Amino acid sequence: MVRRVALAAALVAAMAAPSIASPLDLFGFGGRSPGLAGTGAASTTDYDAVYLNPAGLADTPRKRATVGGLAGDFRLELDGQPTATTSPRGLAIGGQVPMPLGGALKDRVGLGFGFYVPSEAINRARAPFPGTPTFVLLESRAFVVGLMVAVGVRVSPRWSVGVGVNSLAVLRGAIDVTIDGAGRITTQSEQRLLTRFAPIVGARWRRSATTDVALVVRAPSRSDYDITVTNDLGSTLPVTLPLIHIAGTAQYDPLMVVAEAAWRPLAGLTLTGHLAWHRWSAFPRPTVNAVTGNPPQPALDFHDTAVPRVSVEYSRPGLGGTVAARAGYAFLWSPAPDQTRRETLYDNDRHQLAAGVGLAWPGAAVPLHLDAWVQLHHLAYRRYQRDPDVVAPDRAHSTAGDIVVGGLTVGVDL
Amino acid sequence: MKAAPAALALALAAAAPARANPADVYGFGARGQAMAGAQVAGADDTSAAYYNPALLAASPDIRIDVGYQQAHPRLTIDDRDTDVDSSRGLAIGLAVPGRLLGARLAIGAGLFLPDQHITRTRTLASGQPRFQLFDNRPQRLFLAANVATRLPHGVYLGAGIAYMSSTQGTVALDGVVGFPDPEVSQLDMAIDVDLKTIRYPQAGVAWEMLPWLTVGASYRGGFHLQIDQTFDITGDVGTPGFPPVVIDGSLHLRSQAQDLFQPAQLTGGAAARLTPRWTVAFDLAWHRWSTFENPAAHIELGLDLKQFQELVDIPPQEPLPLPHFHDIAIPRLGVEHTRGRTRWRAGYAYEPSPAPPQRGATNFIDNDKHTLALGAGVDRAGLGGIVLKPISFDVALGLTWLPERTHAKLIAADPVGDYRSAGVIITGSVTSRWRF
Amino acid sequence: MRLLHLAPLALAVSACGFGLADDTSGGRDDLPLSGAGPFKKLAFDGDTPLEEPWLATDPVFEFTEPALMPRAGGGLTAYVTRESAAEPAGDTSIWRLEQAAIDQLPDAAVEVLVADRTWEEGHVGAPAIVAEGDTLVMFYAGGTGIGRADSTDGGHTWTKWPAPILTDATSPGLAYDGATWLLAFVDGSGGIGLARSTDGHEFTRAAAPIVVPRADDVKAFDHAAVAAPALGWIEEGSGRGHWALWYAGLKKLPVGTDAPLYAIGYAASWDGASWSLLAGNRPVTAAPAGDPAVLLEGNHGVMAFAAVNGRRSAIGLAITP
Repeated sequence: MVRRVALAAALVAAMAAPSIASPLDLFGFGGRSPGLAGTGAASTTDYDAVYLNPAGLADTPRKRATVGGLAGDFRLELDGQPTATTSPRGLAIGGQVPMPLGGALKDRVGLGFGFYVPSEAINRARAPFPGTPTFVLLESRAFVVGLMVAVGVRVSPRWSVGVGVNSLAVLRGAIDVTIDGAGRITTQSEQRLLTRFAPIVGARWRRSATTDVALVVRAPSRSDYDITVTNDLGSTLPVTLPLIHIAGTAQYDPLMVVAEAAWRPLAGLTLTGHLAWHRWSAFPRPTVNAVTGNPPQPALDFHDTAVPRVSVEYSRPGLGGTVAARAGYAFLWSPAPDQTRRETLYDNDRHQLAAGVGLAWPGAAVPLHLDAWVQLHHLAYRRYQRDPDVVAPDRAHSTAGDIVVGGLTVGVDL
Repeated sequence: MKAAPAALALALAAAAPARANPADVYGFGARGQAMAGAQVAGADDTSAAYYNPALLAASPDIRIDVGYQQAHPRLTIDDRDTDVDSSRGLAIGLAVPGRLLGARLAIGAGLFLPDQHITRTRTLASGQPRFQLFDNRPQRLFLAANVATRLPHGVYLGAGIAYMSSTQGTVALDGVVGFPDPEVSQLDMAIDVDLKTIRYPQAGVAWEMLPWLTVGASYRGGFHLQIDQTFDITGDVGTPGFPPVVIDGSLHLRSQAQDLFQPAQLTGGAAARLTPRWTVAFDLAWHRWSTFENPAAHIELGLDLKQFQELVDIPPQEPLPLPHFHDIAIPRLGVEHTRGRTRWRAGYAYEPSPAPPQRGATNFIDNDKHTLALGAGVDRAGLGGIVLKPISFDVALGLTWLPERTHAKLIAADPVGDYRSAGVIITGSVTSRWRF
Repeated sequence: MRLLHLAPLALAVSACGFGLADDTSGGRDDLPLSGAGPFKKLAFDGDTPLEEPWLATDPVFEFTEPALMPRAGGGLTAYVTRESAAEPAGDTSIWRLEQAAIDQLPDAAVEVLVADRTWEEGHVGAPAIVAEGDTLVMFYAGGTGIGRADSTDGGHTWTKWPAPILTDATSPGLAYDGATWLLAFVDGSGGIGLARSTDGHEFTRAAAPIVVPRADDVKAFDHAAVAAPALGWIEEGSGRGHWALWYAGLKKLPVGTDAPLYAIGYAASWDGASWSLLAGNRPVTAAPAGDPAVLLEGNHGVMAFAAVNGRRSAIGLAITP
């Protein structure tokens, strides 16, 4: 029998659209994983596997379309005063399809896709003047489109593998400020948005009936821009402007290697331990020198970090269907070094507490799946001691704050 | 700084066909191209994600179509090839049916991804001659997703929302502008640029009026991409390390332009299976080109050079001339002949030009277009026991002819002068269509 | 699934949106040209023999008032006014030089026309040249009039007409459409005058100048004076043609010993009688540039102009597009 599958806006294979997984790394993806502090690589079988672990799609049970939303509040403090950081809001969409293939691939292949679309800005490039304090890893990373597709295959009763892509955009172009044929000052420009794919590869091993182990590698995702601005205004201006090179990195997520184990000691209870390595040492400068006369910029010296996460989920029949309660914790070391010189790229160690609830009625006339979650991120206080030979001592700063974010998703089996 | 002045057509669930630029210009999918785009009532594959989303609910199978299409224009001015860029890329469609509360539902998506880039935006000087409908319009991603449902009595509805984007932002530079040598400038940069989201609704309907006759209609809203960039340079003018020539000068430049204009479109048509082997489809589309605005940049420029301000001679910014485009109606006719597992197709379309002769200051060149297309397809029964349903392979070739048109200027001292425009465009595509 | 089915898909996927495929940006080749430019002065390029933008320059002798003709085999032939090396000092003659390509040094200049008629008063210059069949026809300024000389050997040697073609006029610009000759000149009226002929030697002057300074617009590049006309006949893609006029415009009169800062403007006419200026009050070549001469070939154009290089006037080149 060919299983009917209905899918919400599923996309296949070489999909390209500008995106960076920044809100995915900050908050997680889907309706279940954020309530588990970002764990789920070893247990998910839903559309969120496109980010967590594509291998999970091999076990996706039914076709489902899911829509959800996210809203948060950044309460970041600089020197004890709140900053005007825009809070994130966005729409999440996902879909999963068990593929009705025959022969050797029967009941082994699943497709999935996921979108995250910020409500305010699809992409944001924001970098203040050097020396202006900025929460470099928080202020704009929440405003990036996420667009992922993946496929998972069960290669044996115990092993599944999967591959997906997170698609991003790179901007290249030139702007020329000149005089047109009628004597008006005008700009002539040409800019191209190119594709950059960040693959996600995952594997899952069913070690036993109660234990699953996952390994996922997410390639770094980076959205760059590189625009050259020239001018040819003749005698309009008595000063000749230099060639201006506007280039930098709008968004960046590092290479991640994730290992996770999920243990089900009792029926309905899942305990998960997760450790990820984030290669922040490759973090690029947010902006490069705009003109050739600027002195060379020093290296940022961000360092790699290890991110531990733990979570617990308990589900049982209830309310006519299934009820699940979720909780999790993660600690995210800051990869940013002490800002002793002119740079002010601030970042703090972060404690992430998560909670969530899931309700499902798979056998109902309208088979619904509801998931809600909330996270509290606490930024540990940090003070930056400046090098008095470089920066005036009274320019020392301290940073702290909290982030509160929550989301709700609704899925329908088709 | 323009972080991304790009047109991003984003597909969402319940999101609908975006302004499919390359599909608008060259069609989508080999079957649709071979039938000259007469598909609003006749699309039988995932190309319905472009032609009429309602028809996505007509098939009970999961459908995945993958293909590649190219268009090579040779557009000439005074018999000289202007080397307009070709448009080529991957074309993918997906349609997934299902049932909800007993009703058939379908969700579909279509994608055209150019080889060269996701999207290209281009702003040209107002008077620069260009083939306005081909210069940059096909150079973008087309991404569409829809939801469709089948209602009683053979009625289908499809609808969705398309996302586009516009760029807004500021680049600020502060420091020293080198004088007399600009290369010694030292400027720090700050950027604050957003790629904002814009939402557009659209819809389609189809009705199986008779067992052999389907009628359909679709609407796509119009849009254009707004590009809004500001540059602010503040600081001194002189040589770093020496007393400045100007202290605390400033330059403010704001450029506002639009690109990738898409007219609103309303299409109606019918597809008739006259015999078991012959199918004829006819479409009539209305394109609202009358809302097209001059895409050249409008500039605000402010300059403060303190004691040297009298040397500044900024010409007055005259308003941009209006393009005076008009609405057009496009008829399309397609036929398909089925013989066993083979299908033969042909189509013709006539698209009048929405642009008037370019007699004034503008040079938005366009000609009437006659398109003749041919194509074929062959079905194959499954694949290796893994793909259990038929697979189809389709090819299409098309020729669009732009008859010569003369643009005689009103003023002798025109910056461009008279010219003749003409051209041909050759298109081709291959598509493999899979069902599950 | 056969690899053959996947191969083109894989190739297409690999190229999609990456920009790995053809990176050219087209649609801007061979656009039509009307003569209105804008003309951009050649930028200095250390990799070429030419010391851009200067075609002809000398620390001792001044070069002014160029005329351009196409060169057999490619490149251009320029005719310029230069101070004569022979006594008395200050006399001028017309010199010829050839440039094989826009970035190459020209051949050494050769004197081709000297002042040997009484009416020329020791000065010949400001050549304006058109081709009439196999003959090159040069109109030149001498004394207080405009004379004519013809060449049948490609401009190497010239035969003068005995008397001036037009008196009380100087700085000729000349164009010929195959039936009508137009001669632009400066005659002290303050504007640029025009005369018309059907045979190339009997000219009828228009009653009023065709271009005058824009005295009512202090910001106009030609607010104070107009001079040095150059004419051309341009055939357009529609099959009709127009007369083109390039001229030097002065915004402000020079003060003291300062050199005047000319820019080059443009006007055109369908019939040679009624002329319209280029819209937008902009020069086609920015100051400092005077004494225009234009050579249009296909959809590309070269302009020669006179401007001060160091302490002497020299001939520079500008191109469009």
